Amino acid sequence: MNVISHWLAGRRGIVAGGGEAADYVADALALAGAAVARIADPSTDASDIAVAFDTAQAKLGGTIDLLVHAGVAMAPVSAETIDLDGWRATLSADIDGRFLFTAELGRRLIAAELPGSVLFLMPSSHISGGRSAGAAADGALANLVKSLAVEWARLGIRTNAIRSRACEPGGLREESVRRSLGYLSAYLSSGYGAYITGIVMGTDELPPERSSGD
Amino acid sequence: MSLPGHHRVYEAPAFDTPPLPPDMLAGKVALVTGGGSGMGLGMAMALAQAGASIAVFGRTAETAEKGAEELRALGRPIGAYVGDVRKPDDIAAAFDAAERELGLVTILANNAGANYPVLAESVSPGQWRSVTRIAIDGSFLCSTEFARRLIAAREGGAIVNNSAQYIWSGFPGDAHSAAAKAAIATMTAAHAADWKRHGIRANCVAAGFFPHARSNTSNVMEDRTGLMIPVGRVGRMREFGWVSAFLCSPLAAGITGETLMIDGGDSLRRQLMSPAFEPPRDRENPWGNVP
Repeated sequence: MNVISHWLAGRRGIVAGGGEAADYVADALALAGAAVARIADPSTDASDIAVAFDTAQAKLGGTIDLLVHAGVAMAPVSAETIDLDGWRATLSADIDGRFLFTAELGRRLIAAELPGSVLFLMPSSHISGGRSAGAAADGALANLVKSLAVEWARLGIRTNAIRSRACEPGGLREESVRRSLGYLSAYLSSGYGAYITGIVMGTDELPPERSSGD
Repeated sequence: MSLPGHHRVYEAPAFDTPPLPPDMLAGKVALVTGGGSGMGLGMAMALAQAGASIAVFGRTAETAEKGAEELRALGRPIGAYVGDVRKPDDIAAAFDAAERELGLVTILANNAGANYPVLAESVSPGQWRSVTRIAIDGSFLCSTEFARRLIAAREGGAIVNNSAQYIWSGFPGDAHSAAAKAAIATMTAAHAADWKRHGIRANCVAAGFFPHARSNTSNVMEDRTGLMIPVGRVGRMREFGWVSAFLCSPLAAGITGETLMIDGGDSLRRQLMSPAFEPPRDRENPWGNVP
């Protein structure tokens, strides 16, 4: 039985970015009543992004007021082997794309005098080898969320982020975490989260070796 | 002073349209410390809306019973139990009574706390111990009693702890509560790690301004307080209760060890250029004054 169908009724959203977690969240938002356009390979070009919004709005029948962006998948690679092109393809693609999508949403909502919400899906906060681009992106995004939350608060536009191992390449195999990622995304994006903005929270960031209890 | 007309402020859905269906927690028993009033009652109301039976655990019989009476209007089995969260025997007795009358407690909301503005050099040893022990010891003792019983019964469960928006920034003029509430958040993650293998989750809600009957704030004062907050208003108790209930629900089965901040962006309001700094001891009220 669908128990959350009223959470996002009447809302129109874009879920951008690749990965299983983004698919899961798109499904959860639809379950919560939102009309969703899925963009699995989002552009980082501002003009293309504007076109993507136009297309989504035409398809969904109105202003987009909900954005979830999962960014760019980044395979682990040791920092000294990354050249400028590789850096641009990872770090820049991730934070540029997320910012430009968010700014496009913000401009449209401000013009339409409508409230809305932004949610970034991010990997867990644990730093491991080969994640220099990902780590830099995570720091940038966490503070972007907080800055935009205050900048747009009096416009009714909220920005939040969820960290989860389910958002990492390969994903998390634990079904409960993936499901809760979807429900939490829908909750934070809905009117029930009207007083929640500027947060970066996890789902289950316990290191496996500690959570085993051994 | 009031909000400029072009500022837009949005409310959460009304109390009678909660996020969770009325049977989601049916058959579950939730024990709420300090559940007779204020934020504890807010948690209890939301859990009861989702179908849980509620054990109100409070220090005074009158407050616990008054809260229980309000909760009974929602049509769930409710019990009121008196005791001090700093006393293990009182806690065990409350769990015993709740189990006898309502069933095994599988949801625990640690809310009991105390707080008031005071400069650090003026805090007496008794005041320090009172605030920190109610919050830290109380949450620890109730959580461990809860976990021991669930582990023995081979049942899973969920804990939600009431913390505060200032846990990551400190709170000048409130050293006792700042320390206590941050301890609760970090202890939450430790409990989640200890008890994950037993199916017991632990999460924390870090709350901003949520006025209630015991806050003694008028509507005018609430409106003025709301001016300070980026989203333009104070929090509504139902919002705090609902997100607490969500974290205890099956929808959050994959969430543990986390802290969810709900403060309307209040903890983030910062500008590079601000009014001249005024130390807490130079202020009329160490917490500052509302606009």
